[in-house]
Amino acid sequence: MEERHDRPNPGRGFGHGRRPSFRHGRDDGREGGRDRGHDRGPDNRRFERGGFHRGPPGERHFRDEGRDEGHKPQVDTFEVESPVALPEGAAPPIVKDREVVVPGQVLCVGLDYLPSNGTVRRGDAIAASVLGLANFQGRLVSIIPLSGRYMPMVGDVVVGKVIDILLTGWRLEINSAYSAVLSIVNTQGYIRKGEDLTKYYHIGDFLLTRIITVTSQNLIDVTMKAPGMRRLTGGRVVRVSPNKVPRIIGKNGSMLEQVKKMTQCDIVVGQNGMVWLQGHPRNEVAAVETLRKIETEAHVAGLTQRITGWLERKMTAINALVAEEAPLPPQQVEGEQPGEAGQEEQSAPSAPGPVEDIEESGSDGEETGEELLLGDNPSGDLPDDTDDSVEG
Amino acid sequence: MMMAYKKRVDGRAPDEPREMEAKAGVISRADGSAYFKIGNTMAYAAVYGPRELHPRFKQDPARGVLRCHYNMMPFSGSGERVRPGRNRRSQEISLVTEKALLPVVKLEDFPNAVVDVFIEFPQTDAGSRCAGITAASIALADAGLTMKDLVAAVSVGRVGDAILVDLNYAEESYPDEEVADIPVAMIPSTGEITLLQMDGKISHEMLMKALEMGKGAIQRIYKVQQDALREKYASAGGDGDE
Repeated sequence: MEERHDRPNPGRGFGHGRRPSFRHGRDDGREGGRDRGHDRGPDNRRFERGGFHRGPPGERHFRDEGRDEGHKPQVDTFEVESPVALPEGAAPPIVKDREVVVPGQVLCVGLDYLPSNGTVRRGDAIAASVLGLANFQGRLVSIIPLSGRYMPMVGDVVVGKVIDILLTGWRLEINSAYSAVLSIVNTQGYIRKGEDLTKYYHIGDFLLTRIITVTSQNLIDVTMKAPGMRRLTGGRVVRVSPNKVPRIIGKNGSMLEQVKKMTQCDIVVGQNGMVWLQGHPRNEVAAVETLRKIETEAHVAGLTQRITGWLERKMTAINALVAEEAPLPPQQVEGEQPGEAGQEEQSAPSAPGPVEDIEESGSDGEETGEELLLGDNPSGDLPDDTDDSVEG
Repeated sequence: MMMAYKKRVDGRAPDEPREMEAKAGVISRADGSAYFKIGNTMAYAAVYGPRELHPRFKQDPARGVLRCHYNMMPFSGSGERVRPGRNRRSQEISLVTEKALLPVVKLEDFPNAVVDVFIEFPQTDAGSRCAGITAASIALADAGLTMKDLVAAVSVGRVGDAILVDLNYAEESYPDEEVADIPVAMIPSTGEITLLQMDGKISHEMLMKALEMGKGAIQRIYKVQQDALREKYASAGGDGDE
């Protein structure tokens, strides 16, 4: 709490997500799409220019480190103090830091402040242009939005649903105002001319992809040619608010790590707010409930501990229930018993969940031959559990 | 001989709008939504989008399209069933609502997309287009769209020689006096007018006085709008997480 008023202030976003830890892997010369539009401030520290839909520093998280054949990215120089400190004697802002502000509301007055994301200058004053939390960082004034749809950005890893088969690719719905196109040139492996594309991905399939282009008309291209990209088979997909994705991932992925460990589910969180989970149906349901809880309580302090405690109690209850139904030693509760496993797998996608908005993902069991070719082992040299690389 | 209209039928002061109530986020499936009640007029607004616009010839490659749908529910009137569906009046109001809201919404970031605003009235007692615009602008902000400001709307007018704000149905259809009913929508921070219509007759001086009076009411409505939005996210502010 106190540190917030310390200026210069480390480049922090909303809560957990301090930028640096999430940003590595981006500053080592690999696709730098997101970095366009950054300026270098003094000391080679960067800050973002004002723009209407670029998240404020620290808002977006990206993590794909360690997936590049042991590539160890350096922690970048992003321990940003506030880009430019507020000069002495500047008029104090009108609203508090982290206060909820509404469009049109004046945040501060004076040319000592610079309007950043979600704000506009009105005469001498800076006013909010979106609903969100006021965020003062040195001279920069920005808004952390609390609502709104996902705005595609180059470099984001998103979960998409195939909604159409095109002549040369697939159209994906990515929980945004615009659909994305996965062209066959951006898929893994070789697809022969004139081949039936539905053999690879069919309508209704969920894919984990990375955005590679966003045009001025917001035509979006995505690729599967990136580490960890794959078709998401089985399990289920839920949609959460894209603004809450950083909370679900947590600082350094801590939150997600916890949820995965405790529910023993595979979870992939797309930057677009589509979350894929797979595990025992009972645990999937518990994981979905956890996500919803995180979504509604995203702002409350000590989120990770509280969620962990809650989930622990929940899982204990579930396991007790399971033990009652069919007494099993605790480590086998996940349906690992031979013979039972197959059945449970089959019933997994159709298990009814108490939570709305659940989409069944992919097909079960039978057609896996196809996917193995394409989806499951994307670039050979990667371990099979690459999915957890794409939390952000 | 009739009496001049001095005291308002519901005992309000001439510049006093009816009692208001607003809430943001009432429709969870929508991207943004709001409820606004002023007197006996109730409006629900739900915003969907930005999303893809079909048919494609309606798309605008330069900016997103705003589409408003004004609808009075069949039981919303005075007891007579309102014939459901679009009619001449509702289409016109949809259009002016769109034009009243468009100046504040920045849709340049969403080329070829559409933002749909559905406004429904379970109960009406005059001033419905104003209530609709007021609700819609809360809903648009709730949907996270980039906006210069909110838009607040109220009707002003006169009954005989009395200049009034926020006429109810009894005043709007006052039988014994000449009535003017002027719905006004305004961008409160700048005072710009985005909607101005009139039913009836009014002199220039009275109109100016009425508009001035309207400004005061607009500020009160604006406050209610802002509070509704802040209340929805009240718990999101403050300390945040560690």
